[in-house]
Amino acid sequence: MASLRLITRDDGPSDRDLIDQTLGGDQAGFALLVSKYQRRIYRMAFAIVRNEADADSITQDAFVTAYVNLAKFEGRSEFETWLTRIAINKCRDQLRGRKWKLIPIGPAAGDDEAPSLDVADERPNAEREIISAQIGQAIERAVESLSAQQKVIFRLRHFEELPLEEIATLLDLAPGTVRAHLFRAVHKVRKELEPWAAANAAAGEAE
Amino acid sequence: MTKHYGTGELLTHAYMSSEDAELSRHVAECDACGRRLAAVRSELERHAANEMSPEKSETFWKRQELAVMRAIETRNRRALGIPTQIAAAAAVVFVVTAFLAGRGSVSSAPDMTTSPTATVASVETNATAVATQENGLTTRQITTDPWQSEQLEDFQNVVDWESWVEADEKKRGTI
Repeated sequence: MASLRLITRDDGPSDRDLIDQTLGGDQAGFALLVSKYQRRIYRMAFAIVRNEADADSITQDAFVTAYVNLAKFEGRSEFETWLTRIAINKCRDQLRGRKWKLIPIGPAAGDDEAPSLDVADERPNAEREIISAQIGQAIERAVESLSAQQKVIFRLRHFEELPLEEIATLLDLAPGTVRAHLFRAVHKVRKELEPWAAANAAAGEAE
Repeated sequence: MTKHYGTGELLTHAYMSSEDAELSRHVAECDACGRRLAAVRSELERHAANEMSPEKSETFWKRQELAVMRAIETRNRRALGIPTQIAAAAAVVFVVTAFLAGRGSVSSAPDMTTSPTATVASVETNATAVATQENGLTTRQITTDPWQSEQLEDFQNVVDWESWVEADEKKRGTI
């Protein structure tokens, strides 16, 4: 009778109801949880690992892990937070195990040849386009040199635009620790930006 | 002279949600820096949006959901299978042990399915039967002379001769 009451509710069953349904032996409850959160988990996994196949695999693994440990879920946090934490841990493991690195195309910090900037560009969005090219490449180069933990934090901040406090909650870290990791990551991005900044400044003086 | 902020500093400000009051005040007053900070933020958003995974079809999500549920089902089946295997192995071990133990008791001990009294009675009966058989043999030796059997029939003359010689020598006192 309880399940009938849940089904007829307008806002649908809560996560707790679906968990109880699953623990009671009805897997349909868990299928609903999967369809409810799979998009968010996949999106976040992709933001971190930057690969569609890996993100898909991690999403599936995260749900299976959640199912296996469902009885241990005490409800101290939201199910979504708990599930996201599982997925993030899998992403971090995946990054740690990755033996290959993405090599972004473009000049690196310390390269002899400074990037050429078309400072005389008169188009209205010229400055924006320059910044765009600078930042995109700097981010890609910098992130590859980060530790797995720093990558996770930086990418959650950059791609998911999560506040530092939320990242701290998801990673079960102190906000100060997250801030320190993020600061180091941003510092590396800035380092990658230095050649462009120097070239930009030199071009400005030449004008 | 007014200090302007570089892209790097503005980038840090954008990422860290900096509470740098001086920078915030300057950006609010300086058009150039304000524009640059807006450009940095906008670019970060644009880069993040561009680098996101392409939109997935409903088929993708359905396939993923099915894959998860199938993995769970397989796992459940395996989880159930392990105790069954253990139970089967235990049953095999029990049967083998019982069989070996049974063989040992048959070869080394009396059949415990009968009571000790019955065993004693059985042993006594067997002993009587053996004695009777021995007695029977003795009787047969007396009643039937093996020399008179069909097999030894042809040697009857020899037997008689030997008997005759023996009787003659007894007469003469040599035996």
